[in-house]
Amino acid sequence: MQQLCVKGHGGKIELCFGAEQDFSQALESLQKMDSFFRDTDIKISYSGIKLSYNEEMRLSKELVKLFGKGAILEKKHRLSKEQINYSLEENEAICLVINKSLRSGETVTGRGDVIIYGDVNPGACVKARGNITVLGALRGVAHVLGKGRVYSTYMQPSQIRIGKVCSYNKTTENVGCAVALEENGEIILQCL
Amino acid sequence: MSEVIVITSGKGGVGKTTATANIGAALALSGKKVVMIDTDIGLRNLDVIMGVENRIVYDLVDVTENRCTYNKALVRDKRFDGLFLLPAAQSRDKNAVTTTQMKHLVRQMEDSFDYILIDCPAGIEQGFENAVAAAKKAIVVAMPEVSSVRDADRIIGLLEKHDIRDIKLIVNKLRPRMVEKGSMLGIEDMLDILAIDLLGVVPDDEDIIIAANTGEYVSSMHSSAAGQAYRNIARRLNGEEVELMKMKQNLLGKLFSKVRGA
Repeated sequence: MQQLCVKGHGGKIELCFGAEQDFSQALESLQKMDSFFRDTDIKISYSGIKLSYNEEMRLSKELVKLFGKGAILEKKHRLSKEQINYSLEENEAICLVINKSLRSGETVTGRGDVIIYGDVNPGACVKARGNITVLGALRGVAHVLGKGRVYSTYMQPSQIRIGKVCSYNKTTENVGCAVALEENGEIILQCL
Repeated sequence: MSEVIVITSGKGGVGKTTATANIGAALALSGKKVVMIDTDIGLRNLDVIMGVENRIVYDLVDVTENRCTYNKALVRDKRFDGLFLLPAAQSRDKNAVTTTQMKHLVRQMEDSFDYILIDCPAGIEQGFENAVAAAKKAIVVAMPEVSSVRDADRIIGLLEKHDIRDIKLIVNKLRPRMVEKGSMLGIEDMLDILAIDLLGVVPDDEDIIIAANTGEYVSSMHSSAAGQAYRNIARRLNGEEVELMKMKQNLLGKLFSKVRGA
């Protein structure tokens, strides 16, 4: 088994893991290491191993244990915009189903889609990363945090927010069954 | 076992205290033994509306702090056989009582009365928590007004969180003529949003103000429409099926409105 190798260059050190090591082995070999650089501000990078975002977080914690609070791991998983959208799509499979009406003051937040079998009364708020579907009257606020649509069988919202776009209801007229979606920085209602 | 009912609304000034007094009186008229607990500590009103203000010696805080038994603090209304009031303290605030003390108090009372009506203060702070703590049923009073309906909706949500499932609505201060003209929310609109059972509709009636000022009960006035409404509510609470009364204008009112051109 190839040992962990530490290289130093340009004010930071690089941990070179063996190619056959998996994450747990890498942690093990790290824990065997002497804390030579203890309590110094030091930047650390790693190579030779592919880590997921969560594994990277664990490695970072382990390094802080070993080197003190000054140790900063250079993360490779700085999430880009596309990656954020990608992780959203992953989450969209998770669907939150609410089997009651939301009354004033209640807020529901879903990581993916949210389906509500009941009304959303004025003063209540539904937040979701995905689509919001209200099988009942939508009279409160619907807030889509990413890209998504708002469906309701009785559309009379006080406010709809999709991404950064916000639109409020200027009339008290009921449109009936409708969908709200964002197009060119505006929110439009389409009757279904 | 008695029925413990909290009368609440969230918003102030919608007629919780008046409703409590009149429902209590109407229940007492029908031969029930009723106690009303005023939990509006610091701003007590129920005693004034009942006209027993001068007879208060001990209050709710004295009972919860064990200075006297609840029997000693009860004020009996001499006009009825079974109508009692446990008044709130006027010189303390709502934090003077805890939810545990309220539960303990109501448990003590439960075997001696048919109905325990708890008059809830406005707001959703400690006073509300105290009033709701021991209740098993709730009556929400709302006016046909957007702000009142909004607050009632919030209150119903909070009551459900406190595990009170039996919640009924009283629509108070309804003006049928304004509803007809479309300038006031109708009962249907309110029920559409609140989605709970309707217990009764009380029309806006001058008699209520007159009665409150003189320490009388509108429910014992036989000519009053509001009084009739409260008596009907009491009958429904007793399990009778009573139809909603028709809101009609009397002849004189109709003539006046024609003269005014309305």
